[in-house]
Amino acid sequence: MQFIRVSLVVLLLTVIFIAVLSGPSVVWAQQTNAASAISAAQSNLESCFDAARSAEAAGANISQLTQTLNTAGSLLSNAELAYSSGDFGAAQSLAAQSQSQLSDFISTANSMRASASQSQTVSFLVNIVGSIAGTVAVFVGSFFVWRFLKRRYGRSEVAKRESESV
Amino acid sequence: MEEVKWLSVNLSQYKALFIVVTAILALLVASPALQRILVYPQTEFFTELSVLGPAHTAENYPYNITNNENYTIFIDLTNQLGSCAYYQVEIKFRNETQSGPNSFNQTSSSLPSLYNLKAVVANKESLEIPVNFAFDYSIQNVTEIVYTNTTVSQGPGQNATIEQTVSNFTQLQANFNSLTFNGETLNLQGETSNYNSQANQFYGNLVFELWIYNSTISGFQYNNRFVDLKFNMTSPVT
Repeated sequence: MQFIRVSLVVLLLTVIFIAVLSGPSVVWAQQTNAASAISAAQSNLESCFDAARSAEAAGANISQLTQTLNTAGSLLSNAELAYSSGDFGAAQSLAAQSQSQLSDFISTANSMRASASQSQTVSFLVNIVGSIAGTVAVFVGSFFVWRFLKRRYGRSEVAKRESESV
Repeated sequence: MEEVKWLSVNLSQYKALFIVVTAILALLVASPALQRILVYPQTEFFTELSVLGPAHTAENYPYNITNNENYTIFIDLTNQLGSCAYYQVEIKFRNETQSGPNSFNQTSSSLPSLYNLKAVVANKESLEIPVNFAFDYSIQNVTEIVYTNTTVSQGPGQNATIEQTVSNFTQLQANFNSLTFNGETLNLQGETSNYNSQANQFYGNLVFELWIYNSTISGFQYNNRFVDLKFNMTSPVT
């Protein structure tokens, strides 16, 4: 009987000890998870920003992309605020929402960059090569027109001289 | 006979006109290429940061701030950096004695940021961020103990003594609890602002500092730009 009592007391003390120890460790785990979620969301936002910048450099219109980035950035700001006020659950959830906003962002930005590069090439061919070729054509055309007019003028001169002699 | 007369016009008279017409035509055709070549390069790269009042204009800024009343302003960002930029506007609140950003030293305030507004703006584009805020604060009479040290001379050749006098000093103080910023509650507990009898106000200063993301360091750098709103806390004494 004595042994059972002692065992119960030891068991109770062990449970209390574990409960006391596990409380902060649960909070600590939540904090760690929230911190890593925020860090991942931050680096994802940075990668997406780089992709958007590349698309813009290629000549793409990135208004839609910046809108998405701003939505994700707003969620990330709120996640950081929740983290600093100790609401780690909300911080983790908001960071995850920020990440999900950008789920296929990089592939969209890359395809926009590719199509923008293609249209830039076409635009280069039309605007630069086309206009240079057009300018050369104008000069060559003018030269031939001038020659044609000169021939006609020459013939008319002959005709004039003939009519004068008659 | 008439036809021969018309043809007999001397063509060399029109040579100059023909050359001019050809040159104009060539310029018109070459304009798309010239447009790209003759563009004056951008030499100044900067960001415009401004704060606008409730009517999207630079007037009617909130100044007299009542407890828990909502105020609306707009933060405007215009990107002239030559490429898309990732900004962070750090929101800070300070009283008269706390550190503020310095335009001459180009330093930011050493106070911690209460909230970070993140924004991505494409090149040559603007972004207007609406900001709604309300302060939860109270004005109270606060008694402070002031210790005054006075040096008392003990006569020639003798050491002077220092006498310390203690006096109670009562003054009005605004005590801040929180700032509601775009629906988020930001903790301001511990922030106070003493009554300034010369300016006849309880000073409050909401600061918006501009930071720009730098991919080289993978972090934000202060852009030496800030805008701020100065307030007078006008709630009655409780």
